[in-house]
Amino acid sequence: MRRPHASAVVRAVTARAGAAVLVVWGAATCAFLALHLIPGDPVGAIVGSHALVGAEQREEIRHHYGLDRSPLVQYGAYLQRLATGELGDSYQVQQPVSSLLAGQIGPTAQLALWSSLVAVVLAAAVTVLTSGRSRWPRRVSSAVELLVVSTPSFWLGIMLLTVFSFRLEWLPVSDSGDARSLVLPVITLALPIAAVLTQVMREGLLGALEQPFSLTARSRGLAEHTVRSRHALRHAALPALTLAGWFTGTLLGGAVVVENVFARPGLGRITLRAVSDRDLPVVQGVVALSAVVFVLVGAVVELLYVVVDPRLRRGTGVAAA
Amino acid sequence: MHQPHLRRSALLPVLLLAAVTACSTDGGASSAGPAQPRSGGSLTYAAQQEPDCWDPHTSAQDVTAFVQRPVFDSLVYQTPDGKLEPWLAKSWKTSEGGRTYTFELRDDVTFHDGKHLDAAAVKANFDHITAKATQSQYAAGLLGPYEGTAVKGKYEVEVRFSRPYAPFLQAASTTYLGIASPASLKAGADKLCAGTGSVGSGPFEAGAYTRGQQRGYTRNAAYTWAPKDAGHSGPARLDAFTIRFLTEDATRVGALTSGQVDAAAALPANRIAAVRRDARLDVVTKDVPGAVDTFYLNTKSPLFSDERIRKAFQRSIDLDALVESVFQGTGTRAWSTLSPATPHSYDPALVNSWPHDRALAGRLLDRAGWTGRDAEGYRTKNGERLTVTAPVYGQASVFSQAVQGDLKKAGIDLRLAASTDATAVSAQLDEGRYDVVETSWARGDGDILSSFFLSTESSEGGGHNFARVTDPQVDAWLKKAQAATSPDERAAYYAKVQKWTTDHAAVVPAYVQKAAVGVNKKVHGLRLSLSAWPEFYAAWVEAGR
Repeated sequence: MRRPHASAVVRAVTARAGAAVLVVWGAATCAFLALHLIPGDPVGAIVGSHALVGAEQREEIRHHYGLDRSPLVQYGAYLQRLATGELGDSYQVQQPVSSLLAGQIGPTAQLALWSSLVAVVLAAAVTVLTSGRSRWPRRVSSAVELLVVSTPSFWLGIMLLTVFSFRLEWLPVSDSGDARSLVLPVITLALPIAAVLTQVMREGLLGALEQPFSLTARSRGLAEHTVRSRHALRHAALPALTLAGWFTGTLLGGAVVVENVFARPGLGRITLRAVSDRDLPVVQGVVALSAVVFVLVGAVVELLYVVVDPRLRRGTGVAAA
Repeated sequence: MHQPHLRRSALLPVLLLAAVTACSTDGGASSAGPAQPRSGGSLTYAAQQEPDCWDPHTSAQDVTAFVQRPVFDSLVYQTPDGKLEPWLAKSWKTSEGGRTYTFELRDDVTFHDGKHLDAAAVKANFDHITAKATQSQYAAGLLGPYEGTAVKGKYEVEVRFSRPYAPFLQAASTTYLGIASPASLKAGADKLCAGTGSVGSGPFEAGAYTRGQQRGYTRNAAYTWAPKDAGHSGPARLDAFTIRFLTEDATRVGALTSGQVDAAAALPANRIAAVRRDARLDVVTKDVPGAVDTFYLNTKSPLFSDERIRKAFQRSIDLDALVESVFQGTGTRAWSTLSPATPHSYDPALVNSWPHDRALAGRLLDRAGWTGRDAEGYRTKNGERLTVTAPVYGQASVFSQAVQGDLKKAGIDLRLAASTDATAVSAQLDEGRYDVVETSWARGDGDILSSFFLSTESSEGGGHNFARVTDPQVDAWLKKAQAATSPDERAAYYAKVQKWTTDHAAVVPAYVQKAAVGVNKKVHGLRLSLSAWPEFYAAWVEAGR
């Protein structure tokens, strides 16, 4: 095996890191522009509609948040803070955005990781089970997938709550520190993702089963389920991996809906509040954090490609799994 | 909160009604005789909103005052029917014609951190409220023409104003002017706002708080300084209680009907009847005091500077029918800007004084020259349509849309300019680019009228004079009401303001808001305060249910 030159690795990593910084900078700049191009006085949004605040106090608030400086200076200060990982103070909650986000990231990460796991396992299982010769399991599954994908997760969540919490009283309605309270939110978030993944993976799996290597495997006397799960599933996983960006976006967006319906703490809840209250520093913080998450997910996916597909390993510098 | 997915929540309860009521009609245990109050136990209350900032000295949110009420006591207590009585202050007197208030404090009060309440503690609180660094959005405004606070003795404190200021006593009864332990105030704005550093002298101590989830409260066993009419004396009956933040209507109501919470705030109008039918649940309602939901007509806008057109707008809306159909019997149509629940200030003489009269409205519009009609049936003048612009923050309510439909019958086009951008809306308000603003503002004192009609309270200066009334007579009445010493005298001035604003069609008061709290029948003594928020102090739960 030919080992790649060390400097090539350094160059590749530097290029990657540079691209990552560019992505985060771009996202942060877009957020800054979008929120500053809107006409009007942000102090009006900070103090809200039912406040008794005199003109002098308004100027004090304007000065406190640096809103009396020119947009360019504000942008510079914003980038400088961002570079040091500091995101300013929230207008409404009046806490450092970084500690606010840090305090809420745990519940969302928990929700997102469990949902990913459930979605992937469910999708893989359904794909393998419904890609046999007989067509009807595939038809039933496709119909259910379509139904799940077209159901708004808000509605799905309320329905699950109504049946399993309000009516059967099996599971608690909201986060009460009990592990059972995670079940319904995870299902709500995982089902639509699993449905899309299943559609994509089955497409890939059926294609792979037509390939000569499947015929070879079968002729070696391998059981049908081994052919599907050991050999063909890897091929099906590649197109599914390309959906990683969409997957991450759905998890983050879905968290907003799910956390509010199930009254769970988390980033989604903070985001909704910040957007509706025009809490600029928090919105910008969430955007920057999301950009970082996307970059990280992108890097992990690149690695996963190599793990799943041995054909990609040569020359990448990653040892075979 | 007007995100797309939340918008659907208005429809959902209707659709879910059948499914949920099916499970909530199994009859609850019939209580055997009246139960006796008992100490102990706990309850869970589902709130509709979570405070952004938990420091009542800083925040302007109603919900902050509510969630911190059990923790912070005030100098004065306002009973649910509006009387002001001693609390942390044993007594008080005014001097210099109402410019100075001298409070005699109780000498037996300790804060949750063990510190003792004295005059210096009260001064530290007022200093904190008015300090620039606190960035108070409401409490400092409540203090009006505040000058300063002086310690006159260990338990005697004096608060001075630059002119007589009668609304101060009611203001002093609110949580916004609640008294915190001076040591806790030094923790800094972010600690206080975070809700983790709240130290007061109230019947409950602040417990664990998880943002986005819940806050716990535990009984203050040393509490012996409840106001006379609090409904109980001594330490609170509940060992503990929890407020959970269930912002989604369907979730909150479902949690109540399935018994996962013991009480739930803000029942949607279309669910109240179903909750009432449930044998295990009760609904407690109360009119909210202060300024009712009102249309403030911009008396300086090109269109509405003509009083005839304002009057036509006012008389065109069939409020009786609209309020009945939108709120399904759970709202009351208003006749005055003030709610009947506002103590010593509501003017009942206005009832029926400006009834719905579309014929009169039509004649007024004819006289003002709006005689033409366009293809859609709207009135026109010189080819221009009679359009009334109303900036709306978020999404127009069902009620506003119903009013829009009703005005169309009179040929008036009410344009509900909805925007989710608070900044853009506030710019429009500051620059006076609108014809009408619809809003409400709860407060247990008629002085709320000053925030809406004093000529100095313009929107660009941070005030709420949306009708842009600049009338020396109105200013004089409001100032005199603030200076008047007897409640009757104040009421007389507020009555004049209420009459002037409806007579000149500067306002169209629409409906009185009602708080509706769903309560499990095992919970007793959970009463609503004057401002229509639950008071937990006297509440108790039946054992074993």
